[in-house]
Amino acid sequence: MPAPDDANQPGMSDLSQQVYAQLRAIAQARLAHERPGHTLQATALVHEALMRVDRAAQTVDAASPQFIWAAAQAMRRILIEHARTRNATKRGGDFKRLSWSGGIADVADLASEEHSDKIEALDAAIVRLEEHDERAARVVRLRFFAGLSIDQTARAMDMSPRTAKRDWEYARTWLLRELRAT
Amino acid sequence: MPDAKEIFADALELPPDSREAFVRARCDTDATLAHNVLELLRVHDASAEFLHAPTLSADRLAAGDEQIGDSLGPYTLRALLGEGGYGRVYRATQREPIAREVALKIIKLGMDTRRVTQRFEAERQTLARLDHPAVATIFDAGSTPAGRPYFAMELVAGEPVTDFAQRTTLSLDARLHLFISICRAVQYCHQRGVIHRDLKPANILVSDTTGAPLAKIIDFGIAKLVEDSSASSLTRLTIEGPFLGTPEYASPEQASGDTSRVDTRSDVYALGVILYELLTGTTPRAAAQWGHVSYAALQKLIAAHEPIAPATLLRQRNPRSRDITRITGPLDWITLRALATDPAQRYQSVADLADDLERALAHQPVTAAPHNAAYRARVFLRRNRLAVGVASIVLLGVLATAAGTTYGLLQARKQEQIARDQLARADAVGTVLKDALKAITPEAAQGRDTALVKQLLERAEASITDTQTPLPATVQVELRTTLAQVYLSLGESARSTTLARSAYELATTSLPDTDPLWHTVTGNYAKALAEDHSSNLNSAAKQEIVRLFEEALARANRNAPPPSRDVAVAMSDLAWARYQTHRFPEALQLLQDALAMHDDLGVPDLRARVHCQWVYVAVCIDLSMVDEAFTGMRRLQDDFARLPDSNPVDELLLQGGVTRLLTRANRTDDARDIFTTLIPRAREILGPSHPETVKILVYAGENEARAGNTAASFARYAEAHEAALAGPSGRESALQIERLMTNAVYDYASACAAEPMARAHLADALANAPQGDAVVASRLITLARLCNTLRRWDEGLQLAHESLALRERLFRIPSVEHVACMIHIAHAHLGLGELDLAYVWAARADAITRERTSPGNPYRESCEQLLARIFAAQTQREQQTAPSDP
Repeated sequence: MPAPDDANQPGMSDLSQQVYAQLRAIAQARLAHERPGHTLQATALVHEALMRVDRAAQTVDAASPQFIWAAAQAMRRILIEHARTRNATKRGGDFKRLSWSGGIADVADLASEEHSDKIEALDAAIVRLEEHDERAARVVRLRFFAGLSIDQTARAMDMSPRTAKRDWEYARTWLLRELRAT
Repeated sequence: MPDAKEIFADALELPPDSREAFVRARCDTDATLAHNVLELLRVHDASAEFLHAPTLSADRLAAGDEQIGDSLGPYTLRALLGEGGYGRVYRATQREPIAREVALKIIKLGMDTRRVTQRFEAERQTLARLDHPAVATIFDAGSTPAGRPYFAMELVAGEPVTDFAQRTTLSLDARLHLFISICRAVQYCHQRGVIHRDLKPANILVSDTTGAPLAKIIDFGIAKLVEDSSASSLTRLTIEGPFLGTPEYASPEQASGDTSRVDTRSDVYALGVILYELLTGTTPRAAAQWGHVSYAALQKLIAAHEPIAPATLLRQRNPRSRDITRITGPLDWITLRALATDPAQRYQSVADLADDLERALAHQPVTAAPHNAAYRARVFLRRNRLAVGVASIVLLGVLATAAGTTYGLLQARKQEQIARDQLARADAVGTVLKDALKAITPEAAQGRDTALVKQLLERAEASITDTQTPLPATVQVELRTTLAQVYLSLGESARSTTLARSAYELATTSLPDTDPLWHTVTGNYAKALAEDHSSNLNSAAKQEIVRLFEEALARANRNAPPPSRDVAVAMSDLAWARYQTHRFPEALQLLQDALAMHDDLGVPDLRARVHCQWVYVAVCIDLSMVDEAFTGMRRLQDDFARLPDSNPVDELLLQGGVTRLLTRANRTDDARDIFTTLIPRAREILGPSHPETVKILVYAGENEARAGNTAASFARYAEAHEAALAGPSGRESALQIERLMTNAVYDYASACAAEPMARAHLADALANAPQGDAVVASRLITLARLCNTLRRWDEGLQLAHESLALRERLFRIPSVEHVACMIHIAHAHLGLGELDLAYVWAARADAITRERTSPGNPYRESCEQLLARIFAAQTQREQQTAPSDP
């Protein structure tokens, strides 16, 4: 966990706003593919997702790095749970080689139908990266699940932007190699 | 030893072609590390798209704005087709259950999505039943992640009908055929209970890929789903505006925001606008600007009434168009009828509109006809209520400014010349204001909602009597007099009296004896006093009136020695005052003298003579000098017809006088004929509770009483009573009518008394002939008539039917006996308010009577009267159902 004394960093409350927006976008992307008739629940589900973060926010200051981190984790869980239930209903044990070559710019893309089966693989890779380089994995999670920019990540992790960028590029490349290998 | 991450990150900061050498140098002997880092660099070079922008773009974060490529349920957005008041329309591909292209309409935020989709589910059956080649099918509804409702519907290729017509320079006939095909499709949906509510060219797409132009209507039924589901009236107002339709094509009832009044006729209106556009290339409302208007523009607006006829517009815009002659006449009428403000005046169905167009194309007579004068007048005043009001406000403003400037300047600078100029200006403005105020009296403002007028008058009164900026006394006298006149014609006699008295009092101190204004001031005050029922009860007011006119006659004799017009006028005025105080012989003498003086004048003042004649006839009637009254009335009508500026109110009063005369002469049927048109007109022009309207209703009641139609007379009195109670003088005039009603009740009571007797007679006849015979039939109809008199219509109806059935059994060929039954059947239907049925029976009776009887037969008259009453009731109903404030 990053040091809590970052809480008063300027720009942190903007961050939490951004997290909310990101969360909503993810939920929307995720829900966009529900069958018609189920789509009615979209708004309700967005609210549900936001509530998870709110619950996380109750224990920590909403503008603190802990909150951002909690939010990133909440999103990760939402995505993974969603992917699991969907993949369970869709097909069992159909191992096909996943293509990582393009089209996944951000987490919303990953949440979308086309890439829904990749989230678990990506998460597993991040866990492996964590074992090998915890800091780089954390950068990925903040960047990817919480949608933070390089500068924001640097602030949240109390490091220089250059370090954050270097970690990010390394982690991104490492993950891609890892994913292609499996 | 640096780790892989550090070497990798360092290498990335170098130019690509020097990276490998750098890595090998840094790794030195560790080949595994070098291999590892170089592999990472290769992966990196090919990873451009992987997680390259994890921070969501602002576009993506903006709540739910859908983008091309987004998926909504089974649909993927492919291209934006259009954007409008409702939201956006996309071309989208559907994956399942069928792969196809659809149009996806995403509604703007502000709707309660759940309600839209629930409504859609409720209406799905109805909408699914719409299976017409010219109507685009709606497949599905759902909501976007952001919670906006969307509709998936048949993707239609084509361009808006008006664009298509313009681009392909379609011939007039082709345009009309295309339009008729559109009407038929709308008709098809109406028959299945679906109103479009937002018909406009953008919703009618035309393509000619198969040769002939084919129209397809989109969005059928969507407007209602959306309108009914607006989150709240507040959201609707703030987000969507007062209504969802497209203003240019929205019917007045839609524009008013009252969705409950929207029906198939609203679609007729929208089609009318489209037809107008197809004929002329522009919409009728294209140039309605209320924003910034000069006084001259206001006057023009006041002069404008209905949309310019298409042919007229075309003649102005494109005088060489070959279509002008074709459009002139029937096509003009058809278009204007579809565009009537009042839904009741429009085609009642789209089918009627299409049928009429087909007739026009086939050069057959059409049902649409140029509007009648009364309708035109009504539309004119409805449309221009605002304009007249605005004109008055503007003028009041100018007046106040002018007056203020005048006195301000007078006090500050004492520059006489400027002051005089300003005074003259105030005077001029006063004149204009006077005209404007006169323009809002019922004579001009027929049937208009008078609330606004009264508000304006109050404002005018305040500004005239404003002591801060006093107006010159003469201007004040004139304006107060005018206001008093306006109040009087609105039936506000108490206010009128107060103002007229103040004008009179101001005149006695400021107006020269020779001023022509005296006549108006005196006349107005007297008339106000006479009309003011609160003072009518005491004779002091009447004595005051007599005194006023004696004074006026003296003044006339002083300033214009007889024989002169002024003296003749003063004499008839005084005669009128004496008539009011029931001094009939004196009044008659004065009138005879005055009329003689009028005839002696070289150049007769027609209006003054009409007035004089008028009072003369009234006096004759009251003195039961029937022959003289008829002679006088004929002269009066002649003169009246020759008046260059006869106004409808005078005409009403004149006709009222005629009916009274007819009643006295026992020509009650003739009088009734007049009432059938007079009463609706009085209600329309004067207002339903105006004292003159009440009087006319009382006359009608008296006429029926004289004719022995007790129930009818009672009904008229009841109407008069109700109207009087609602009127400005309320209780007092209602009391007088109550006395009349009591008399009618006595007659009513006699019908009640007659009933048991009639029943006993019927029972006797039945005992004599259980199967029924001619006697039974006749007694049945007697009882039916009594029931109708007692307003027990259901019973009357049944008895008349029984009688008719019996007579039909007894006499197979229809006879006048049958007619009597039919008349009572029609009568009962009329009483029940079933005008259609009443008409059917009355028309049948009428047809048989015409076939079997010669002119002058009483049955003929009965049939005609009955039909007239049915038409009158119909007219009245239409007026009641017509929107009062479009």
